[in-house]
Amino acid sequence: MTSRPMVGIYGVTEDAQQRIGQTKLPGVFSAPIRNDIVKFVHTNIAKNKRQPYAVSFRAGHQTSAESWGTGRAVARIPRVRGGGTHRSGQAAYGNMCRGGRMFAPTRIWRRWHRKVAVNQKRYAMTSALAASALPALVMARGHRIQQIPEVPLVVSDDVQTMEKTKQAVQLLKGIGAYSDVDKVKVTKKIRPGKGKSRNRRHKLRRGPLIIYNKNKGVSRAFRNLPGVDMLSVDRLNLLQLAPGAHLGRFCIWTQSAFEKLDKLYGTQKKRSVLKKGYRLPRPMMTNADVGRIINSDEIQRVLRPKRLPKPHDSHKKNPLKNDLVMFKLNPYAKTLKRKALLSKMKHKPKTVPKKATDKPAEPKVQVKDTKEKVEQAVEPKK
Amino acid sequence: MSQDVQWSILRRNSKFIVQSGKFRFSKEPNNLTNKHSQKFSGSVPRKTIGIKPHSEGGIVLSLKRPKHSKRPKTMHTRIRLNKNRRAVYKSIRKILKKRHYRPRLTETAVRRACVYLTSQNAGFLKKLNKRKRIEK
Repeated sequence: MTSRPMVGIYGVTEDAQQRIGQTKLPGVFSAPIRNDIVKFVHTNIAKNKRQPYAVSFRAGHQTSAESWGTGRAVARIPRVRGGGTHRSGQAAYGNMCRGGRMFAPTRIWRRWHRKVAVNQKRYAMTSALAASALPALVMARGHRIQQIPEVPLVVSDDVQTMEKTKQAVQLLKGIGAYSDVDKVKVTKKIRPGKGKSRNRRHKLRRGPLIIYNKNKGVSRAFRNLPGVDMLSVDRLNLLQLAPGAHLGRFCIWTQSAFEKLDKLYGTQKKRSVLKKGYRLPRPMMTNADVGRIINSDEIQRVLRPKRLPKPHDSHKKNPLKNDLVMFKLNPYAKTLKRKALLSKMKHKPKTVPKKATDKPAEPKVQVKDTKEKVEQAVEPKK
Repeated sequence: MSQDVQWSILRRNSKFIVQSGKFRFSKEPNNLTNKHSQKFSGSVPRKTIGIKPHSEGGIVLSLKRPKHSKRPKTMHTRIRLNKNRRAVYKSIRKILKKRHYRPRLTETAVRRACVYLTSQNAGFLKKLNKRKRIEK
């Protein structure tokens, strides 16, 4: 792996765009990005928050209906017995019946939750973290990061002790991250469907994610800002780091949280301290740059030379009509033609009539030396 | 991270994709043809070129600085070109050549600049056409 670059730390001061320190980029950020693993883990993890639901197991079966059998000119579906009410004689039980049970009634013993292998979960997490450090991916997720000084964005630990939203807003504005919150504000929409009455009234986009080491008030300071989420480094969550399994969440780290990542995930050379025996996944290819591979000497040397397209054949010309082509085929034709012309000239009067030569282009030129003139006429144009 | 890996992630899923029929366009800021492709991508390659119209005439040439690829605020240098057409084309070609910016995209950049300059002269061209019609 390449040498680990330094990342700037930004302060809570007025000019928050100014670096106040720097720290090493944790090894996780050089982990391979596998969006297929992220997607798989995300879809499975997302199921673990579900609560079981089902229709009542008695629904649709609370009658003593029985089929009338054949010969009554009605369908053989079970029918409610007795008389005296509208219900009697109506079809029951079937999923096509009014008041019947549903097709394949839902059961509470459906498999609601999914187990995901720990190593897979960690792989997905390292991928998501690595992706969050690539501006192209963060921008493609829709975050407004054009005004921030650096990706990944690390702020000083003073942020952890913030208690007021006012301070939080000031910080975000200072480091140029507030436009991402503004973007979220505009997107607040009422949720379609039943969720409205189930305490999920509004839908929002996702804004920045703030990752802290110790919560000394941060969560209170930021919680009222739309779209902003908070996480502790010790409990990183893929659902927050790659919402919808889309890589590249915009993360704002506090310094101590950022520096803890090496302990949590280790580096390419060191094993993790906090996760027992864990080692970062190594990339399959040392060089994943296709252009560089193709243009490398090793590849270029063994390739056959480039096949150029055949030069276009020129239009075939008729030598009987085109003198130039004729002269090429038969050099003597030139002499023949010259002779013919000369003899023609001899028998004619000395003043050359206008249409005497083949070339009517220069009729006005006074002809002094006849022989020279004729040669000019016969000479092929180039 | 290699550009190809990044592109393989962005290819299917990006905020900037605009799909119309079988064509895929991109709304990225530094995309010269607005096509969603690795070649014209405005964010993935090391060096990208962007051309935008300036509100007071002329165009703005923005170049991605590879050394600032992790610093969004200073990622692009912007150069305003506000002279006559030929001078603008000449300076685009000159700048891109001098700074080694993707020779295959140079002419595309010039073409894009041409479109903006033409649209800025739209009023003038309209008058010209009118005059011509009257003369006819």
